[in-house]
Order: sequence, then C-alpha cells, then structure tokens
Amino acid sequence: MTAPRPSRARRVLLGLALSLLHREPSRAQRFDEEQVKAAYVYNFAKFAEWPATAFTAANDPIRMCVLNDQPFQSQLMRTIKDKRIGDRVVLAVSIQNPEQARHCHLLFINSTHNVEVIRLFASLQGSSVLTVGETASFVDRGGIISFVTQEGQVHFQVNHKAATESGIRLSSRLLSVARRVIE
Amino acid sequence: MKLSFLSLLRFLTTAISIFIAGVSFGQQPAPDLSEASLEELGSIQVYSASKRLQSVGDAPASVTVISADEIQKHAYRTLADILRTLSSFYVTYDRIYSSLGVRGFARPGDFNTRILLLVDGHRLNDNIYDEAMLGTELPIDLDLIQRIEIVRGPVSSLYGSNALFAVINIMTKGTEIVNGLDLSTEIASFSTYKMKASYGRELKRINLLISGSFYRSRGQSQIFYSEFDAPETNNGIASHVDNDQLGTAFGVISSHDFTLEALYGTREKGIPTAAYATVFNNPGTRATDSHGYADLRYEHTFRGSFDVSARAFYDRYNYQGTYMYSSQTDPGETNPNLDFADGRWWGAELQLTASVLGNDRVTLGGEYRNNLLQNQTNYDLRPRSLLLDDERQSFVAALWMQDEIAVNSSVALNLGLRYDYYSAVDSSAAPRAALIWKPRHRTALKTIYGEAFRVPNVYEKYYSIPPNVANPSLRPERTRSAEFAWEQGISDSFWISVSAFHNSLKDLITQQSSSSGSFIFENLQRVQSTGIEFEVRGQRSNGLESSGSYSLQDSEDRDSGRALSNSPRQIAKLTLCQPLLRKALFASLDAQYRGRVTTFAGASVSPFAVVNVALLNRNLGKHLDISGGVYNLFDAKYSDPPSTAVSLQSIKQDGRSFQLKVAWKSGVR
Repeated sequence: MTAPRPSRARRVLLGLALSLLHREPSRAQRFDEEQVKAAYVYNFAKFAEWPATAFTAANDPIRMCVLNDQPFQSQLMRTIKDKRIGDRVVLAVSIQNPEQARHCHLLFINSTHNVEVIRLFASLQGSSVLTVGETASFVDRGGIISFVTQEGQVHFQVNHKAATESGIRLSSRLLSVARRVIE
Repeated sequence: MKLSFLSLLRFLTTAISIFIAGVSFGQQPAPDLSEASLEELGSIQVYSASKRLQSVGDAPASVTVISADEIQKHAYRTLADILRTLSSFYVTYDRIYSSLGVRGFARPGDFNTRILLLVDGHRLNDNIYDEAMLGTELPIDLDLIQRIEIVRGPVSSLYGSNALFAVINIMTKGTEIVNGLDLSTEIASFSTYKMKASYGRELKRINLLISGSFYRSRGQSQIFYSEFDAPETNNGIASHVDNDQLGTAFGVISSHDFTLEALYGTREKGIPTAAYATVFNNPGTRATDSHGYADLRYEHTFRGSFDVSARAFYDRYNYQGTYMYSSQTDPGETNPNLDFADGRWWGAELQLTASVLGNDRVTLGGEYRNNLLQNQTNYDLRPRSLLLDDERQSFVAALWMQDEIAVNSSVALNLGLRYDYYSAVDSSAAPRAALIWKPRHRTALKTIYGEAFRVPNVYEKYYSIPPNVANPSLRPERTRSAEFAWEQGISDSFWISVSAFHNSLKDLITQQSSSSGSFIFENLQRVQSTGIEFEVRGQRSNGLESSGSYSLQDSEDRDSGRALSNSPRQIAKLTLCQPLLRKALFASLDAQYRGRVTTFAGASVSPFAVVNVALLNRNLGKHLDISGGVYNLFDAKYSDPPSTAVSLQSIKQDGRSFQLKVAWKSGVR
C-alpha cells in the first residue's frame, strides 16, 4: 500500500471550498455516493470489534450515529434495515451535537463539520467510538476511518493507531483493503 | 448569416425546455449494496451526491469545480473552452491569445492580468506581462488535469496581486490515477493533430508521473478580412498564417510529504490579423511563449490538526515575437522586428493552519518572490537597430492571515487580510470577509466583501517601442467588491442559486492613446459594475445532469459615463450530459450565448449563440476511450471584439469544426 499524494489544497479557503463542490463528476453506473458510503459504514461495523465495556448486554444494539446529516442518516437506515451483526441489531441514530456522541459505537461526521472535528475528538477521549469522516485529513487529525473519493470511486483510509487507542479492534481484512493505514 | 434575435429566442426556449425536462425532483429507489464486499464497494463508480450540491452553500465564495470526467465527456480542447461554459464568464480570442472576461469586465489587450492562474497552487502568471494563459498557450495538457477550481470575486486577501476577478487553480492528476502507460492521439479540423504519452508508477515509497504532448494545427487555411480587401494585400485573404503548435512536458515525483513537480510548455502561433500594424498575410509574423518551472513542496498535518505547507520554486518565462514590417527604405522588402521578454524568478512560501479557539481554523502565511530577471528587448533586423533593452529586478514579500470561524451550527464567518510589500511599486493590503448563514436545511445565504489589487507590471511600466511610451510612475489599481448570494435546494437533486454583485474599480491601469498617436498605460479609469446571476443545477435519476445560468450586468466607465466596452450585458449558458449505455456511452452538450458587445473603438459586435456537442465511449475493450466533438454545431458566424493590437473591427471566429480522440491506457480502472 502506498501513501496517496498529499492533498493539494494550497490555502484553507480553497481547502474548504474543495470539499464543497459545485460541479462534481457524475459517473456512469447509477450509484449515489451516499449509498456506497452507507454500505461501507455498515461494513466497517462488521469488521470492528468493540471492547466489552462498550455494551451493557450481549444483545445490545450497535448504535451507528450520524452527526447533523438527515439525508445520510436516512440512507444509512435504508442500508441497515433488518440487518444484524452477530447477535446485535444495528441502529442508525441521528444526533445534533457532539455531546450525544459518547453513547455511539460508530459516528459518521460529514465534511461540513471539518472545523469542529478537533473539539469533537477531544470530547470522545476515553470512549470507544469508531469515527468515520469524509476527507483525507480526517485520519491525520485523529479520526479512525475516512473516505477518499478518487476518479469517482470511494475508498477509505484507516488510522489504526487511533483505533487501538480507542480500544477498537479492526480486522486485518479491513486494514488490507484500506488505501492508507496509519500505524 | 447572422443569428437573429428570434432564432436566439427559439434556441433559448428549446434549451430551457430540454433543461427542465432533464431535471427530476424524484429520488431513485436504492439498490441493496449492503451485501457488497469491501473490494466491490471500492470498484463502484459513484455519481456526485446531493450533499455535494448542498454543500455549495458552505463555500465562503462562489466556487465552481470542473472535473477530469467533465473535461473528457464534453471533449473540451483548451482551458478557454472550459471557462466559456461557466456562468458570467466570456472568452474572446484574437488568434494569438484567449482572453477571459468575468462579470462584465475584460479590458482589450490586458493579457488576463486580473485573473490569477495556478497549477497545484503554483502561480502561473508570468513576471513581465502577468499573463494568465488560457488557450493552447497554456503550458499543461488538459489530460493531466484532475480538476479545476474556479473562485469568482476578489481573493487578493490570500493570493495578492492579480486575484481581482477570479482565481483558477488547476489540480493535476496523481500517480494513483495515471498508473502505467497512457497514450492518446487526436485529429481535428484545420489539419490539427495531437499526441500525448504519460507514464505513472507507484514504487514502494515514491510515486512518479511523467508526461509529454505535442500539438500542431495548420489553422484556418484562408481567413477573409474585409478591412484588407485590396489587391496589394491578397484581397483580404490571410492564407496559411493561422498555424499553432504546442509542446508540453510534465513530471512529478512524490514521497511521503514531499512533492517535486516540473513543467515546461512552449507554444508558437502564427498571427493572421496583421497585429501591431504588421504586413498583412505574412507567415513570418508570429509569437512564441515558453514557460517552465520546478516546484518543491512539503505538506504535513500534525496530529492535533496543525497543518504545515511549504514550497520553494523557480520559474522561467520567455517570449519571442517576430513582427514583419515593410521596410522604410524599400517598400518591397520586409523589415523583421524582434520582440523579446525574459523573465526568471524564484520564491518560497510557508503556511501554517491550526485551531485557536476550538471552533475556528486560523491560517498564517508568508511568501517571498524574487524576480531575478524582468527583461524586455526589442530590435529591428534590417537595418539592425536596438529599440529597447530594459533590464529590471524586483522582489515582493507578503504576509497573510485568515480565520474561519464556525460561530454556531448555522453561521460561519471567514475573515482574511494580506499585506504585500513590493520593492518596485507601492505596497498594498487587501481585506476580505464572508458571512455564511444556513437558516434551514438546503438554504444558504452568503454575504461577501472583498478588496483586491493589481500592481503594474514591467511591460506596462517600461515597454517603450514607438508608439508606446513608458510610464514608470504607475500605481497599483484597486477593486472593491460586494456580493450577496442565495443558494436554495428544492430537492436534493435540484438547486437554484441567485447572486447579486457590485464591483468598483479605481486607478485602473489602462492603455490610453494620445492625439499624437502614442500609447501609454495610465491609472485613469474608474469602472463600476452591478449585476445579477441565476443558476440552476439538477440531476435526474436516469443520470442526466444539467446546469443552466443567466447573468445580467451593467458596467459603466465612470469618467465618460458610458457603458464599458468589451462588456456584454447578457450571458446565458447551458450544459447537459446524458449517459446512454450504462458505464460506457455519454452524450454531452454545451451552449453559450453572449449579448452585444461594444469594442473599445466604438464598433458593435453582434450577439451569438454557439452549441457544441460531444460523444464519449469509455472503456471499449477495457483499455480504450474514444470521443468525438462537434464545435459550433450550427456553424454560427460570430466574431469577438478585438484587442488594441489589431486594426480590425472584430475578429472572426471558427465555424463548425470536429475532433476525434482515441485514448489507450495500459491499466484498467
């Protein structure tokens, strides 16, 4: 696995603008980026193992939270409908502020929250929340998994170190598919 | 045939009805992807999602992004082709360079000095003319572009001089995209062909990409200019003098956080317009522009969100113009005049970004550019006599800061300030502020205020070949701009935006002609523009993507009280792209309408509408892409306003033309 080229955004203004595109590629096959990301999120949960302390009972649900993003939460809900991981039911939960995140097992943070992620990570210290972001820098800043879209395909990067520090074990299979792994 | 107003109306009505038919408010049923494996998910092609359309609202400026995908589907040939499809942009071509007008503002013969062009963040405007090269003169091949980000409005608060009307940042492809060997060839009308080869490789710790291209066009074999319709000037026919050729080379090598990038392009253009009062229809009159650079940058994000980026670069720009004049001693002979510019500069910059208050991102940056050479030379060959030998050196040092503050979940504030110290001209400061308010889901309101400046360049100050007169006391020109924008999503797949702007320029550096027939650049003009832009963007569940825009503006030369020249009141654009066969075939259309323009000499250039179409067949036999384009499909006869360099009323543009391109890649995506 090779390191991807560093982000080319020269200035923060553009850096911010970049993730906020006007006209972006549309691709041949008819899959919405959100659908694919939601499917990934479900997969991440399948390949992650939380510490026992993250659950109170063996059949406690896995709470997958989405911060301030109604469309994605709805998409995730459709994706995981009737799904189970092991004995656990999977829930897609919408949360409005980072304080609610401590009760999540997985937290999806879209790119519009980039400014807040540092504060967010600080508030998650000591809890086992698998954070999933949308920009390459998300993992550099301490997030666990972030999506990267290249040539209209969605891939992901993993900060293995951050996962381990949160007490979350990621399967080697997940790590082997990742475009970049920070150890 | 001139395009009548009725036929324009018909065109617009048809275009709008196609557009409206193309937009659907519904959402498609979601196929089940949840059982797909990680590898399968990674191989799925996605289309831009509604969130992308939504998040336009978050940008602290009016931003447009054009992707490699769009460039390929629309079979765009040059950056100028791409820019002319954007809301409120218009491009004119004088058969030497392409010039860009934005929001009603384009000065004849100003070499795009008020547009800043960047390649991967590296400034491409040269240090003699400040020119942003947009046509075939752009020293980078379009196939190497991953995406282009265009920011409208003044951004001098980040970039300093030249960022008055737009910043165009070209992002090149990385080795993750060009992996293995890519070859392509094109043939097109006017005996045009192009070849390109790229090779990308990811080694263990090092990524490498090299690429080279060659383009050659014989151009229009015959162009008729009624202004020269006399037996001694070939009855007004410029014959085989419109040729154009370009060679480019590009290389990038990256390892960890370091990237070394080098680029070189050289382009030679025959000049069919008898520019600068040269002999008409002489193939010796031509201009060559070459630009190359090496740029080393370092980018790293330290944990805790501390971003550091640094860069050091060396640039060289050369221009050589050969202009054929009739000899004063013997009218039957020609006297070539040679015009040279030699620019060399190096520089370095550093930028740090971190969060200070917790809910903000603060950026501090500094830049130093040293113009080692800014030389202009001019001499006649027969008899040999030196007319200009101007050698200059200068430097600029700048500091800037910016703070992006998320005040609460619905309000964001963006503040920026930059100060530039110039050794050779007055120093300048430029502030900028943007407030973004998202009162509801899918609604964004933005208010932006910015000031920008442009310092005079050495060409404007010191070029003194008669009839030009030098003016070393030129000062920077300044603009103030205010914009209010409203973005509204009707559904996740249909968005409307409206923006109103007001620009006011003073001390505009303008070429003036005196009664004695001489030309001089002076800080004279004051210009004021007010306008409004409407844009709709939509995506239908069958894949049809569409966008349309209309802009209306009014620019006034405040000294004369008259409407500004080179400034169309109305501009309309339409782009459509429809996938025809899943994953393989795409049909695209782009259409542009430009209203009437008055030239600087007071003549009127008629409105026109041009429609271009393209077809792309992707992944034929896994390795091959074939595309074809028909430009100016309806063969509209139209002209662009001239620059001050030519004595023509207007400059006739190409009729219908074709292009066919075959691209082969060794890797399969």
